[in-house]
Amino acid sequence: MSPSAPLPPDPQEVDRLFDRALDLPPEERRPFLEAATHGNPALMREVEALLAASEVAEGALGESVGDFAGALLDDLTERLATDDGAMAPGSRVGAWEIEGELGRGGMGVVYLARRADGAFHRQVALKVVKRGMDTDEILQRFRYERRILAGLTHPNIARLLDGGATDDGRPYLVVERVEGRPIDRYAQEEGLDVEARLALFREVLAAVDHAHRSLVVHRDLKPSNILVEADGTVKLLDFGIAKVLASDGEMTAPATRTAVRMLTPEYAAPEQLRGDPITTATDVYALGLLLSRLLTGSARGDLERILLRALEEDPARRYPSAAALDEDIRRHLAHEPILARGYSAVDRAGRFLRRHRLGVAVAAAVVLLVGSYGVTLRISADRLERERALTALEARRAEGVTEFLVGLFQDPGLQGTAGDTLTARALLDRGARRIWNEDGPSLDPDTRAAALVALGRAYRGLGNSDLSIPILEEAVALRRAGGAQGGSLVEALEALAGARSEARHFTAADSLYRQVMELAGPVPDSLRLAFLMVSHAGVIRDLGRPDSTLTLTRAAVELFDRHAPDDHPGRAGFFHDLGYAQRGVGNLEEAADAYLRSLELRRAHADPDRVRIARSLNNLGVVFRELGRFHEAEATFREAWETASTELGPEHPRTTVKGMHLAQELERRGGSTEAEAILLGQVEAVRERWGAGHWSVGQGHVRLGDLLMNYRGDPRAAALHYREAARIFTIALGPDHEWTLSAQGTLARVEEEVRLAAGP
Amino acid sequence: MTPSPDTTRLLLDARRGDRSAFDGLYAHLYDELNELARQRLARFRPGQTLDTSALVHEAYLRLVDQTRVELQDRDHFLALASRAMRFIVVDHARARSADKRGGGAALLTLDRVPVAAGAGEEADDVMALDQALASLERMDPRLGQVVELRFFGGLTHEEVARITGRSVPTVKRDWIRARAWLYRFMTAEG
Repeated sequence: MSPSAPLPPDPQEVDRLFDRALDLPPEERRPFLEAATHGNPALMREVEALLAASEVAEGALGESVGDFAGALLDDLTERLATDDGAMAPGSRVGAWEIEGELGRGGMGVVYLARRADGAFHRQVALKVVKRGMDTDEILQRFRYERRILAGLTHPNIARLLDGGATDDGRPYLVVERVEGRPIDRYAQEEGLDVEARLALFREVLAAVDHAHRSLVVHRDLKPSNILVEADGTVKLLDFGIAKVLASDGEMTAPATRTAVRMLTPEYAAPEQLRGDPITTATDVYALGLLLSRLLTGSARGDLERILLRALEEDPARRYPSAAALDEDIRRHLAHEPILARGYSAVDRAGRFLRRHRLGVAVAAAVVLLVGSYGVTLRISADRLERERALTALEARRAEGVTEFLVGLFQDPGLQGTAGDTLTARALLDRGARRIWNEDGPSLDPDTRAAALVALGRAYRGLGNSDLSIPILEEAVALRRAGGAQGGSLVEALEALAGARSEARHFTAADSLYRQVMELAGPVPDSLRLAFLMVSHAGVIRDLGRPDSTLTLTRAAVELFDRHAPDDHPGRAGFFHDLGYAQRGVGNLEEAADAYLRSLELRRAHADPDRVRIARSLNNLGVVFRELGRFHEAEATFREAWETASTELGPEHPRTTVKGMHLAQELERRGGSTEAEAILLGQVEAVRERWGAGHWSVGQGHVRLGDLLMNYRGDPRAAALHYREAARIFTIALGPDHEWTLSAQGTLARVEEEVRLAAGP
Repeated sequence: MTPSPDTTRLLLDARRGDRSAFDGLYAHLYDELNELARQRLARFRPGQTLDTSALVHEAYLRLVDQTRVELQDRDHFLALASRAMRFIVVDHARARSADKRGGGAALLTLDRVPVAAGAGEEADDVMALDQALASLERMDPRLGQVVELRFFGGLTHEEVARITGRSVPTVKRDWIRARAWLYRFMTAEG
């Protein structure tokens, strides 16, 4: 604020007027305020700002902190879950004395400890179940881990030393302390060559083979669980979710739910994600991924075939055990023929690996994002099955009503007439009344919810997002009350999220999308997930979070690109959004690439959408300009402008903004009168369409003024246009409108320059 | 958990105007709410968002011996619990924000606990909101209290009305005004 500014208005006075204005219908507020503030424009502005704030505050803040900061509360929840039963250094657990904390996971904390009586000098890792996490399921799992470890004795597996229960009854395990680096980091930092990496990997195989022979499947093999000590010894850790196979191969283990929830998805085999039976081949898959990571893409020939065999989608086609995998690596090293010789089709292999690598990357991105909504991966086969059955049932129930509603819009008598919208709206209102009131009580809740969703979507389709919100909220409430957790609730939430987003309630929409993502999890339908992610990204973008927007958009594009058929018409839109997101974080080159790709796709379409082409061109032009590639910017803006003029008409606001960009580029280059001519032509077109007193005519004059002032440096010519703009705004929008004041302010500044230029 | 004699005792003392009982009750609630949240987590599936309203109400039912208190004690309790909730959330936001500034050195974990992508940004938002709330409290303490009760405590308009001794329409209006001011404070330049 400048030092000469008057004192800010008294907040009490502002609040009093604000309170009274709230009681008035919107159109009476301004006259009331004008009278009440009698010539104190600062006071009036402050009250109006507050009135404006009251319009958007609900959407921005929500009703409670949960609406406002859902992710932060999730994060707090996580922290609460992990911040419990912590033991300070010096505490005693059985014969052990705690020396510090090593790490914490979902259910336990690991401490560094040492024998209190000095009978054993080495440091140990002591793992305790967290308080609050000591549910029967987790306790059972913990006892189980202890039994497994007790049965394993191998130089490459961290040894179990002791176990018991703390004073407050939580079980603990004491395991040999392993000080080392994750195997992939070790290999990289030590600069190991392929042979050394294979030797290291074979030590891992020896440890896993020992477990397999003891009928134990580790199920969570990943670099952070495989450490290499300073002397090069490999140690396998954390059998926290391991399983024992019965001798006939059948599993005997606690319920799989916890185990599935605690998986590390990047290293999980397909059958683990599906919830299918686990065998030693499950570990082979994770070992395959580990090997591929250790070889960092340099796998050729034998090694590539070995990888392919280990990474087979179908467990029955993989190496059956770590020993079989080890045998093929041994053969490779000894230059003997390997067993995986069938895997020789090079192009198929290349494709597979490429697909696989991308798959891992996308899976990681999705999991990271989905995980960031506060969930870890939780799919189980029976839940999916149940969902499918429920969805089918709901679909049958709701079919009748949905068809009725959809039928309203397919009435041939309604198509293509000018009164289209009105008639459709009237029909829709009638349908809404019926579902709300008349038929409401007689319909069962599921059918009613399905009908409400259809209704809400139809209102959105007609551009009435505001009306659709209460309808969709009711649908969501009905679904929740009915205990729905999957498909049908997701559908209702998704529709509501879209409506909130259109109504610009971005915070609420963000929170709804998070709920959708959480409920949907890694939904089987990847395309739908991609669309969902990109819609969510749009909301996050409008909340002003460019980094998150880019992360989410990028993951959505990758997912879509991988799963959509080559000719899917939606692809261009994804790249357009990617361009927007890249520009948002300042990645201009990447933004240009994305827009170019989007344009290429749009143009290749049999029936190109020229309005969207113009939009992508315009955005591309802006990026070119920011990159300093002015010639390309000019050509791009010209094409955008011409396309939009043809498609939308020269006076359409989306056309005139493109014309303005073009004119600015032309003027920047200089030596042409075309820039001014374009803008004058636009003013004419707008005047013809909406009349001379319309505000958009004033807007055209402002653009002309800006061009002449900022690009040509001609204040005298610019002043004429600003004066005209101020005059039109005063009439069309009122003397106190922001635009009027801004035009007058600019005019005053420009006139001052004219005077200065004229000399004293 | 059985009703805690501590909580009920502190609540009754605080009603009699014992300042140290009041402070003690607040600190006590801060810890108890954290503890309750943890227990709820163990009972419900992980990944569920913390429901501050459910937490505050459950705290009352579980911590206070209902036979020894009166309705006004419940109001008193809910008001204090809402305040405690506010500081729990804001303290977490501050810690979260500090993590971020500290470069976010990741702790070794056994199972990965992914850091929420939006949480860091929301931490800043919540801190901005808390500052706005402080400004609002300076301007009009009553509006500030409505925000604390409604926004952080998740209390209903009826509960807020009883606690503040106003009518339901008035507190509804207060909430709209308070929210507009918060938004204004949060977005105003300066």
